[in-house]
Amino acid sequence: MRERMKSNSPALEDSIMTNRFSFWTVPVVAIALVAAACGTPPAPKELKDARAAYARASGSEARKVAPVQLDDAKLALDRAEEAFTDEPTEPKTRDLAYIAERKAQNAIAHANLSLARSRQEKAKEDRQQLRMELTEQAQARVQRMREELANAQRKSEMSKEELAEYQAKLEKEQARREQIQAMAHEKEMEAQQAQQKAEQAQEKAEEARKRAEEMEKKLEKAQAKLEEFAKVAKEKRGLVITLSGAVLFQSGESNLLPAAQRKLDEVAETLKEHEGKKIVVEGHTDSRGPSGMNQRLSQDRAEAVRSYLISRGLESSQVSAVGMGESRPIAPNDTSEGRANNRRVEIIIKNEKS
Amino acid sequence: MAFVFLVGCGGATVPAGDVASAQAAVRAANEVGAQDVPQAALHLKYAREQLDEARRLIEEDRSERAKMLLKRAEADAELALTLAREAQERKKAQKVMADVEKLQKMLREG
Repeated sequence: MRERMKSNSPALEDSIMTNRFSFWTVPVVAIALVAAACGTPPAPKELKDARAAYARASGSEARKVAPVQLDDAKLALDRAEEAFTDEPTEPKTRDLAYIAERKAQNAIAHANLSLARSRQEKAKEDRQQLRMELTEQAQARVQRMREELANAQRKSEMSKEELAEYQAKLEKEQARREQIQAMAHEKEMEAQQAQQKAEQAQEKAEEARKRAEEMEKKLEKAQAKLEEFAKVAKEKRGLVITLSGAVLFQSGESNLLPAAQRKLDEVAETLKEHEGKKIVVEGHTDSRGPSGMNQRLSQDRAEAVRSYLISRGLESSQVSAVGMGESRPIAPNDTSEGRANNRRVEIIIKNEKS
Repeated sequence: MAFVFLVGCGGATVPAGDVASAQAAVRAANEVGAQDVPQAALHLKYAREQLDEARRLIEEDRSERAKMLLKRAEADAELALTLAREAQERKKAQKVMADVEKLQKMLREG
């Protein structure tokens, strides 16, 4: 190639050696120059494509972001132009032009590559920034939610307190109510007990009444029986059963007649009804005969009756015997009837208990 | 690009370095996935074809032409490589930009 260069003009020789022509960035001028130097063979398609490609590359971002690759492309185009000047129709020219086009395309592609990388870097920064902002946003939200939760918890705490208070009140109320109920129950029980007692007392009173009635009936019966042969009278000193002397004793004797025993049995039965009461057996005579004798007779007779009564089951401590002689007449002694009446035994049931 | 010219023609040989260089460029473009990027795949195809043609010419002892073809192949392979990498970077950039859009939306709606 250096051999063939000798046929070129010196100016062009210089330019080819230095490979730096500013106006080769303008394809039309370059084509005109080459055509002037080498005659008028038309540039091969490959060269036209190479020039166009370089023009595109040179006018693109490649100038800024892919300067090395752009320079390479220029160098290649220069070589191709050189070859075209020297050997316009040789395959070598077309090969060099082909290579120059590829290099120009490479410069553009490289520029796009760099731009894409820058975009990526910028986007990464933006992404980082946004992530931070989102994190802040989320944190702020979390904080807000925490506060709301704390508020709600406080509220619920308060409600819990109120609830606890209320429950305490309720329990107190319930306790009170139970207390009242218990008291009421107690009162009821007491009332029931009182009623039971009253009923019992009433029953007892009823029983006592019944018993008293029975006793009275018995007494009345016994008294009625007695009254068949004795006089029964209620006096101040007590109940007085008066038995005729003639019924009990033979005249002047102090031994009980056999018939008298049956009567005295009845008397004994009556007396037994008066349990606990003091019984006095009084002997009385009429005024005939010496009073001393009468006294003794009346005493013997009283004691005889007493002994018999005791033998029929009466308590010895309960019954006492006393002779009154002629000291207590109940009828005038100047008639026989009167004297008969005076001749008697009185059995007195004292009112007081022994 | 360094041109190692041997003076004369016909009897000159092609340095092994030239062939290796072209081959390496093709391999590099392939490894970057030029096959999957349409424009890159096209130039990779040219590179391979020219490399094969160069080998044939070396056999036929047409060294000058072989050398040029090797250089052409290398230029195509380099272009294929750049185009493939450009596609890659574009994709990566798009992904990140999509993330940015998503995050912007989330921030707006948050």
